[in-house]
Amino acid sequence: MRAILYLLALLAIAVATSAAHWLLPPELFPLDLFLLATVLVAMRQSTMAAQLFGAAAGLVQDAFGGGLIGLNALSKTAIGFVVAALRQAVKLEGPPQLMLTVALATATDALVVYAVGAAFGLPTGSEPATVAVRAAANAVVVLVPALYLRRRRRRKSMLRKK
Amino acid sequence: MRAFILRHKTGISLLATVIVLVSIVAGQVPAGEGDSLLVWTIYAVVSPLQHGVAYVAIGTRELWDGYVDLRGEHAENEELRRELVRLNRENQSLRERVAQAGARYELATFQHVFESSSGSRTLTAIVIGAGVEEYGDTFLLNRGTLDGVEPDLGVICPTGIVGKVIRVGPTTCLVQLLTDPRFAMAARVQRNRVRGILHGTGNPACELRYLRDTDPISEGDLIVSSGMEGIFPGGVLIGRVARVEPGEPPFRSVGVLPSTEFRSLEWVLVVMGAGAGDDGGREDAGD
Repeated sequence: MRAILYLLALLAIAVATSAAHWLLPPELFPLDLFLLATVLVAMRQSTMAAQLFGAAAGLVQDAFGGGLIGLNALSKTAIGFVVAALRQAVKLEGPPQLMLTVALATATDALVVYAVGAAFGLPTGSEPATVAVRAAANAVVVLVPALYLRRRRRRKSMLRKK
Repeated sequence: MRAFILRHKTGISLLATVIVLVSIVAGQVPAGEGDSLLVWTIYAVVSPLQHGVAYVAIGTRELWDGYVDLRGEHAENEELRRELVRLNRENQSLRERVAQAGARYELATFQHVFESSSGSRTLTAIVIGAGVEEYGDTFLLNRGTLDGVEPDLGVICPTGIVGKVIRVGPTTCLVQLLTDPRFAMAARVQRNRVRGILHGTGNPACELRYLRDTDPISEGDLIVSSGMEGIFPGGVLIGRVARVEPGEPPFRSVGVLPSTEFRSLEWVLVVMGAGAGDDGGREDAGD
């Protein structure tokens, strides 16, 4: 059931991203919604589930993005795995930590894409300034769902206590 | 073996995922054989959805662009409407100037002819308003004592006699019109030189008094100034006989319709010094 929900969420993200790319110039939509979803899933799920979700998210992103299929899947797999593993070792719950995590994940994503592309002799990767803008935008935007989920979780725990 | 797999399931799944993904990427690297079956299948599955999204997105954008264009058209329409109003005003203003110029030209021509034929001196003046008299027909002109205007000076226009100055201020003067009940001047029938006194009646028509029953006069006869009172030179048109009826014996009652339409007057001439005139003055001087 949860897997279906995640898949539906990924499809919704794909549609939203595609529509945004059609309607807005790239500089006005620097967000990577697939990456945000991967990080948010990694904050709650196991490393295995996070990396599988990352792989699925990356595949959908590649399929809709029209690029090399598997490239973003590789980077998102790595991000899902690393963030989920980090969460188990370090506390990443607070908004500042989450923002930092997303910013670093964005940089890692760009780095992995660049590295894989370079390994296959493909001209991939973005300018550092573009990556910085994307990281900042992702870090700010992730607060919205994160705060919502946190509030929802607190309410649930309060209901359980009662 | 099974225990090993269960213990390291995360690492193994990660490794498997990475290997599969790297294989997929490697399979797409150009090697001169075109796309792999996997990539082809993925694109075949995804492309209808992409087409749908693109269709909706493009439609939305075109709708939005159309709306923005429509707003632009609306603004342009408003701008053109304002421009049209402005041009209409400008056109009206130019027409007014042309009409004024025509009236001034006509007056200037009349002034030249009048002065040279009657030997009178005239001053152009503008009608700046109706008089403030409680009753009677009066006009206010933009000339006064500073321009040399005095009471009892005649006022004329190209179509005939207008009236006479009755009150003068430094920069304005009040003109009593022919039709004012207090107005009176010496006049004559142009055709047969019969003299009478023209009086205003407060109505559109004046009355020519003291014409005997035996004096030959008929409707349509032109009435002109006699030049006797020295306000107007002789022979200036006053109006036309509109009615001839028996009056108190031995006189007739003669109605005269002024030749000038007073309500449309804008420019007039103040007769500063009346000359002998075309006919009557010389004749009267000889009487």
